[in-house]
Amino acid sequence: MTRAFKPLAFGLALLAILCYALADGRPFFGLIMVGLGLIGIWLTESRNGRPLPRAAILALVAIALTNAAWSTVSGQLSVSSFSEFVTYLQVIKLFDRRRARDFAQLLSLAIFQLIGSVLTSNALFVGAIMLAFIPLASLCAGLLQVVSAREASSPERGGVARGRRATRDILAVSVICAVGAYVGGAAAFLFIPRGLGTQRLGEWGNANLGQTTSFTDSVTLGVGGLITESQAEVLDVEITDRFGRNLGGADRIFYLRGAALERYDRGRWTTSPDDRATRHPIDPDRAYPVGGNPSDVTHIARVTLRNASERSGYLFTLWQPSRITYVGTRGVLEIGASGVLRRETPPGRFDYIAHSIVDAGFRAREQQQDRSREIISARASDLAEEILRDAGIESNPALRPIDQDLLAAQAIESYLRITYGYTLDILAPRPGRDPIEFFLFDSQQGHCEYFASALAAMCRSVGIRARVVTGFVAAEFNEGVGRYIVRESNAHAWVEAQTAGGRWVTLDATPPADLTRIHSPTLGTLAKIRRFIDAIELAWIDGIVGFDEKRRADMIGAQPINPGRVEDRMADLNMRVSTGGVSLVLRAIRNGLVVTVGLAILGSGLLLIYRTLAARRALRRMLRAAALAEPELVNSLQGAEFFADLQSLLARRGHGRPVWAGPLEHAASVESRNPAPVPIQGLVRLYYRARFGRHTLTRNELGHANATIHEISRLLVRPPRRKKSRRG
Amino acid sequence: MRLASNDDAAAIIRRRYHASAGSLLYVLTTVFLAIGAINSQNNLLFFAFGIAAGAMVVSGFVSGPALMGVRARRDIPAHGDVGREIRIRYTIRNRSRFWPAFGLTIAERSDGATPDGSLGSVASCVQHVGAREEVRATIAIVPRHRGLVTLERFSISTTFPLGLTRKSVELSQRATLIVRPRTLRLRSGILDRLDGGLARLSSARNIAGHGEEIFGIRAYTPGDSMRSIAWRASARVGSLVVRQNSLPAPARIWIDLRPSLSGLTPHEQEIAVSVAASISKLADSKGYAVGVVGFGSLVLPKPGKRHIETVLDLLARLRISADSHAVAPSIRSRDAVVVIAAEREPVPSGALLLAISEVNSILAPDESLPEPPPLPPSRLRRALAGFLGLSESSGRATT
Repeated sequence: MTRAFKPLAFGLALLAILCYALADGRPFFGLIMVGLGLIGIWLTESRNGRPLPRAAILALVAIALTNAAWSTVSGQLSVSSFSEFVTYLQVIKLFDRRRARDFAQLLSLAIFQLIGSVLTSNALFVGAIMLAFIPLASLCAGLLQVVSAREASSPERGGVARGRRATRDILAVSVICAVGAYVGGAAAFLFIPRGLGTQRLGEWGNANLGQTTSFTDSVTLGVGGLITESQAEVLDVEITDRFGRNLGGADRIFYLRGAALERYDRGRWTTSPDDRATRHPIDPDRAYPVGGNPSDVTHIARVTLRNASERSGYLFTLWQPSRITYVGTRGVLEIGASGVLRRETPPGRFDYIAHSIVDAGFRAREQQQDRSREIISARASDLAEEILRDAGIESNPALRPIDQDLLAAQAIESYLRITYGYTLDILAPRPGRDPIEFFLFDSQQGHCEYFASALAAMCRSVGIRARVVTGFVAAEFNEGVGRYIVRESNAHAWVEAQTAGGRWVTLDATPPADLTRIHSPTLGTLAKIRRFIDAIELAWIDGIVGFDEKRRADMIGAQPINPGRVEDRMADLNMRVSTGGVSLVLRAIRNGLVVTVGLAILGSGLLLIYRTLAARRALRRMLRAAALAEPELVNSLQGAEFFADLQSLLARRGHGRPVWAGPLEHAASVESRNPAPVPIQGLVRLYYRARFGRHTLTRNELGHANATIHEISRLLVRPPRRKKSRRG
Repeated sequence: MRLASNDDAAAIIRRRYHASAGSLLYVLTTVFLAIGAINSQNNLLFFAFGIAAGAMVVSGFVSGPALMGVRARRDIPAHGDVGREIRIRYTIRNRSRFWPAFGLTIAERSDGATPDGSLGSVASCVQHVGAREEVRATIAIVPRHRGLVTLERFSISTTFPLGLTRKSVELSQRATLIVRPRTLRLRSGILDRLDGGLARLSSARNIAGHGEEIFGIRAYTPGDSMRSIAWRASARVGSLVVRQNSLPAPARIWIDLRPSLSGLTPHEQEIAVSVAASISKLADSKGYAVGVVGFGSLVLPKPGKRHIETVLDLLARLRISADSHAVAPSIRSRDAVVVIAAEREPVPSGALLLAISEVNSILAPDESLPEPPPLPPSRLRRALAGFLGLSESSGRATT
């Protein structure tokens, strides 16, 4: 049984190392550490292997400690640096001696490393590894206790755990522990209110890693995760010119803008509060002017929003919208100064037609062109000036001719497109690092939000007003129907920059080849597999990582706790208890009871199934053994399951057969003790006839035996409990 | 050996949970997870916190029933020798119907043994006792001091399943064990130095027995062996008579432990007692009837294996003390006397003097005296060794 201990402990240690390395986005580091760990295992476990000398181990630990201390002093103390330190310790321990105490340390370090991984990333694989880790760690911890007990005892050992029964027992206990841990985890997940005390103790790693990014009306940089590759259809759109000619094509893409984000604060782009919107009640088939001269309209987009789940949301149009017409929908329309359109309509499908002025655009008459410089990042500003200098354009807006603004913005756009790489993985900088600088100078690769943010920041630093725009890219053109199908994965971010005369132009720093590749429809088996994996990952992120107070409250049937300070929430909770009073408590009791009873029923059912299967398995083993000894016995015993049932029934009723008593003797004893006559001996005799008399049981006999067991079950009572005598 | 009923089992005194540094670390980690989860609102951390808390609860539930059904009995030998292995056997029965017990550590409570803790820290383990199973475990110990050891309490504990806490059940079963002195191998022929040597052994007692000397003849009674019939004498007296042999009378040897031994160090006193025990065994093997006198104790010389056990038991319990009252045995003129003293001193003529100061001269060439017990290491040294992991003493593994 304990032979499995060492491989299990080593496997868990290496798994934890790998998990952390992948979570931190450093697979190469992980491979090196796992390789070193394997060398350590080989050196210490091979036939002539020996652990490193104690002095060497202590020296290595001292080096790791020094490295960690240096990281702390140089201001890089974070979950990542701590987990890295734990990784080094883990690898050093794999070169160390192999006593139970060392294995305990190895297992503890693995658990700490897994916690570090969770603090570093919430990706699906981290969750999957954590779920798989629990039963294995439970088994390993159980085996560790057995091994350490053996090690702590004198060399003369007793009760060595060998054989199938010991293995079965320890597996069963490990499963119980793992199930208990899972239940605890699920209970904490479901019942602990969310939102209390958020970030009271500062930032602990990148807690939100693993979230997906799709279309949102804010962009948060520096939060790693995954760009959604969901193929769920969001809308379809037909784009024509003003004369009704379809402008769509497989080689053409269109930008459907949703939100315009003008305000930047510490890695986060949000909409501007100055962008005041006018509200209009929607009348079906009525056109609402947005801006510009209707006669300048170049493009008409007929959009069908599919299954909008929220009551309010954005409308996606080509820049710059001039007029919008709803088709058969009632609600409220909001038109923002920046051309952003929002709706408040019942959830579900609805259609609209957006007229836009694409090629020429129109001047924002109501706004003066602002050419003041805004430095978001000093290093990014320096880089922008350098780019313009190389392009022969004046970087100072006061000296630069106004008609060169567009050239300047395009120069920066071009530089970003050429110099930087595109990746769907959302990379995250270490805490404290500005995400735009991280993109421009560290990772030099990122997704569309990084490109757009860098472009907007650099444009602003040279006096060009710019904003980040989020929406969708229409790239998947269906020739048959002449419409573009827009999916979740087509979410995109780009930039609108204000040029001469207050005209806003669309700029996209994302490399065009990557943009086309990412947003073009993917077909084939691999793509389907990828989509399937994406679906799992999205379900994980949607159901686990993104689980919030509102969904928690919905799930358990309670009111969500209002966000705010802890004190306010406590007061809110207190008020609800005092006002909701009895009903609140009753509801909590009811929910608790439902969960408890449900778990009890589930547990009892599982136990019953297990015991039934175990009894059947024991009988099968007996038959197999009998078949080896006397093949003709098998036929006789095939129907003798009733005897196993009888034994089980007697044991359940407190009449378990002692090992020294024969079945018939025991049956007579039970019959004599039971107040009502029970025909147990008859059944045992029937079994004896089959077992020893080579009698093949008939169907009638078996039916009678089963009926008798039912009768015994009805009549048999538990023996009275004997009084316990306390001794000592 | 089977533990047939509760009456055979040791009585349960109490059950306890013991926290350890590992428990504290685990609780701190769980609290850290809770704080981390609340601070970061990381859902996986909430889950991890629940797992940690759930594991703590399950660990308590699993380890509790595992020991509830455990019963045990201890079997010890009646006696043992210093420096020789003694085996204490434990029979562990798990009366539980469902719960197995794993990683059981059986330890003797030192407060139940001799005051000087002569048994040391002893423990054994049982890796697995299935539901309704019975297993046996053995502790092999090597006593360091002679004396009467009373074993009273022993404990069975486990850290299974997760090592978060140690659950123990303390049992009581009184048993005594006589630890006899260490036996040294002496130079061959040492007893030949006695005045008269082995010639003393060739004597017979005035009682009929199974010796070789003729005791007399008597009338034949039915059942007597035909070989014992003295035919010539029968012809002489006219009726059947049979020969009777006399009972052999072994020579008596006294081991006289002199009061000067009380001035020796405890270690040297133990050597003196070991020499006495060795001489006793040697003399017994040579056919002497061994008697011991000294320090208020007296065992008259008698032949037989049972008697030498009595002598050794006396030596096991002998207290060498200056204030012991003197005992004056009646030593016959033919009795041999071995005097064990601290230094050379006057002895009766014919007696063999063994001075502890010159004890090496009587030991066999390949025999050496036991080393004096080492001083226990200081607490600081033990703590430092434990911290650096240099100590060979095993610790409790926790996760």
